[in-house]
Amino acid sequence: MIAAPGGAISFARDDDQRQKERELVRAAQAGNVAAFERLYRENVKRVYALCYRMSGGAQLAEELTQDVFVRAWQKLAGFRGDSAFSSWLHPIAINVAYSERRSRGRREARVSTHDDLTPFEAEANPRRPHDALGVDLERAIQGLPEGAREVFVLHDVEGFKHEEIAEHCGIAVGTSKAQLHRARRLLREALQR
Amino acid sequence: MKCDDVRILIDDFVDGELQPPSRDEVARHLRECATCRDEEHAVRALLSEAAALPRELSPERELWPQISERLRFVVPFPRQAARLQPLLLLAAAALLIALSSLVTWRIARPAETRLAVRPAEPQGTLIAHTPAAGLLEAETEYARATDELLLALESRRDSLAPETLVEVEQNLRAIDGALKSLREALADDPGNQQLTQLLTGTHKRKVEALRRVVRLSKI
Amino acid sequence: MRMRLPLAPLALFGLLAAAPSAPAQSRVDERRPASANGLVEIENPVGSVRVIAWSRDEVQVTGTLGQRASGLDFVSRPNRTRIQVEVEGNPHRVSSDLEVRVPAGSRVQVESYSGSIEVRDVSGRVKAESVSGSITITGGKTAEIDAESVSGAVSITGPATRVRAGSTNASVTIRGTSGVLHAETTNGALQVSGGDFQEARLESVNGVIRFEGGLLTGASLDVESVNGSIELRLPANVGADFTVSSYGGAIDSDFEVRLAPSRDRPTQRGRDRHRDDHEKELHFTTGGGGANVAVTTLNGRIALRKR
Repeated sequence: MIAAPGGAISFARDDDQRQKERELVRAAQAGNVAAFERLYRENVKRVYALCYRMSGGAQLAEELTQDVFVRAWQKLAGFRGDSAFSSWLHPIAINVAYSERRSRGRREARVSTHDDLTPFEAEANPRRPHDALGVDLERAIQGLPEGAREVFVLHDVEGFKHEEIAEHCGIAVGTSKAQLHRARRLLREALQR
Repeated sequence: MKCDDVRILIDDFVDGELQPPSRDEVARHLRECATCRDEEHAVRALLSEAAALPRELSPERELWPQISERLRFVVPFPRQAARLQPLLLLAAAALLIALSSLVTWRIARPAETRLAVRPAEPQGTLIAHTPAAGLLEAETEYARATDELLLALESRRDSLAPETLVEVEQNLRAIDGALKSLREALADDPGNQQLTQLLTGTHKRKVEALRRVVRLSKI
Repeated sequence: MRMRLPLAPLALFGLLAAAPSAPAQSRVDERRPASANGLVEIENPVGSVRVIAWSRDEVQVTGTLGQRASGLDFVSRPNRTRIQVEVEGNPHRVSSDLEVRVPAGSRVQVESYSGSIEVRDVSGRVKAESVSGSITITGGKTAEIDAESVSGAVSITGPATRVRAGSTNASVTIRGTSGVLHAETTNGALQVSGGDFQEARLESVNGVIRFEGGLLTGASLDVESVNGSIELRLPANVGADFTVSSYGGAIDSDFEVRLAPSRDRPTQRGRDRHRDDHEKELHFTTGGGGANVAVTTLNGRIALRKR
């Protein structure tokens, strides 16, 4: 189980909440869709936030979010209730978001002869003086190249460690670090700091 | 430590990923250098902003109806024994500090194909012989990419077919043979554009082959 | 909409923790509506995938799922259909064979690890990737093909005008294409016979390269190998500027090599004129020029033949 600090495992959850959740999960595992819907309602915004930031687009994020919950339903039998439902859901969301990117990337690749090893730079976002800082950053993240964006979201927003990111995304730890550094540099350039 | 070095390490420093002595050297430099301190603050500011992003976002439309529709046709997976996930976490070499050696494969025992990542005998003599400007850098870059991919493969060897590892190793041997011939030829004729092109192309073949396996093995 | 698995094999899986003996293979026969030129994505780790175009606006999947396949994910959205053999655990022991019929105008994307891939008569863009499966793409009016395998042979036949093909250890064979072609192998043979090309780039490390085709005006043909021999068969009246260099191998040409006067010859590599005895390099022009042909090899033999 992967625990992401600051969100996925909510240590503030009291036992009562946990108990209610476990009951919902059990009901859902037995086939109760209404119970699963309650779990969905409690977790969709979290999942959507992750999908949105990883995938770089609202429409795709909506599709991915649906995929995440369908897959969660499929795999529900494997959830033993020894953690919060949201922390069980988290790696599923990452996996769905990441595999989608892989398959979409291959689909959209044009015929080209050179495999470009050199990173391409994100376009600098025009500074909007009246935007709140948070929206500025959110937009800048959307503008990052895919690999850098994914690692940045997983590491700096979601709080995963490089080893965990490497395992989930099937990349080397060194790659994860390199992508993170690139993302931070590009973000700072885009935000002009 | 110079500012250039610190700039490369600043991210790892802020993330707490550095070990002494690098960590202490960076800390010392930061005490003395205002420019680099500004760098550090900028990185920290970005990180705190990122951490402050809303944990939750609302989708623009209601997604449940489509989900519930799909659920009707989904057959849940039966309860199965949890798949063992051996974590082969290899600490990658600090890629941001220039690699000085290429990596070769070895098969330790035929029965158990292990991918031993070991530094090769230094091939520096051939490359260092009046290399064309940028060629050494290009080779190092490719070596880096190859290392990353080899490490990625190693960490995922459980999702590879056993034959794959053997094939990849043979493959790399064949390519390395060609690279060796090319380097020898370049040593006699440094700066030869055609040879340089062949060398780069061969490196690309190597990286692409590894990439293909790494990418497709996650199926 | 998702496909519902037939219940019988599932009952054998059982919902109990104790795993019973492996269930039999399960047969698949499902259809979904699909748009005439939508995207069809197929993933089957081990076994075979055969994609055949038909005139219905439907995608049909038939075949068998291997033991221990946990299911077939068959999702159809407007314009996009996904078919995926799902496996829990090591995917390499579960071999499934699928035949997928798709609307003729579909774009098709197929991935496998060690499954062979065949795509026939599709007109949309085709992309196929495998680690050790062979890839065969034929027919149709596909304009664009992208096929890569590590150890499987890649064979492309048809009128495509943008092709990218690669195999690391096995051969790449291209027949009947034209326009743009990028093909590469590391250890396998690379053979191309086609129409008129605008841009062809052929690269190999140790494999032989054979090219037979025509060149449009202003076209470029770039051929590179380290150890493999190279044979080009071009129309007898081809108009092209040739740059041919080999370090260790002989160069043999049917074309009359009339060397340009030295002042017109571009300075090579910006260094002095003393060449190593081993290197042979020719610059010559045939038929008044027009296209550009560059052939480079370290040790391979080069043969330039007239068709």
